[in-house]
Amino acid sequence: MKILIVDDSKAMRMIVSRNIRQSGIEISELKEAGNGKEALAVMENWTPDLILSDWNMPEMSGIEFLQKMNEREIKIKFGFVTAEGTAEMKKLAFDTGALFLIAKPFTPEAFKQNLLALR
Amino acid sequence: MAYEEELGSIVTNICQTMLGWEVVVKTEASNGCQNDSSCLCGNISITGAWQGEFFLKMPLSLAQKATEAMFASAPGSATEDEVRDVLGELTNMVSGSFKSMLEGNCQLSLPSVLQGNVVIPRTEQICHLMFETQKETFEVTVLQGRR
Repeated sequence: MKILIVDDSKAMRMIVSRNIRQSGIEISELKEAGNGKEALAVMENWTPDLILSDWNMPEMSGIEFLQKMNEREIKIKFGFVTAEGTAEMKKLAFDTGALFLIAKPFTPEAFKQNLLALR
Repeated sequence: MAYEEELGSIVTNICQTMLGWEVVVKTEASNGCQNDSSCLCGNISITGAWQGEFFLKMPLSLAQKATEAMFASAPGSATEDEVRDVLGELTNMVSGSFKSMLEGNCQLSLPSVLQGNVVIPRTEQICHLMFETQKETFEVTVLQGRR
């Protein structure tokens, strides 16, 4: 599986990457971007199978990124990994097309449950 | 509204999950960071139905340990950018959980990390908690905007 991790925190990208590896998902390629705008740039030449994105980021937030993907009719499995998990945000995320929302702080088990369900 | 108990649980849970640290809420009075120039302060503004400021302040030495714990790196190897990144992310996680305790629609700013103390006018302190871990102390402060 090709995975794109989108988060403005280098530490969080590293931890998300570590948790994905621990989840048992087979990773063929893993790339990173610091916000939605950078992610769209990465995707001009590369198509991931799954995107894991933070919500609150500079330049282009996670939800703006997902909305932009919808506008461009880009259909890629998408999940949020975010410190914010209010009911309103979850509803917006799922209504916009996200498949899951993993709340920070998370455990490897949270990744395992959500990622293995995608297979 | 008293936030102390829930906020204490949030902080201890985040430190346990993300850093593998046992954290204890300090009950006795403490002054926290004695020398502000050796402390880093993560800050997030909350706007919307509830308005205020959220701070996570710790000695630079503790922030470095947190960074090394998060990156699983060797002692003394954390760069200044990495330390600020980790403190910002910890502030983001704690304030994100705090936000879920608030009523109404609120938004979080991006985290900023500053050295020393931050003074925010037209606010009042509604919560201040001290924690102990790794033989050091750190603190969480919540200020609510005056309407």
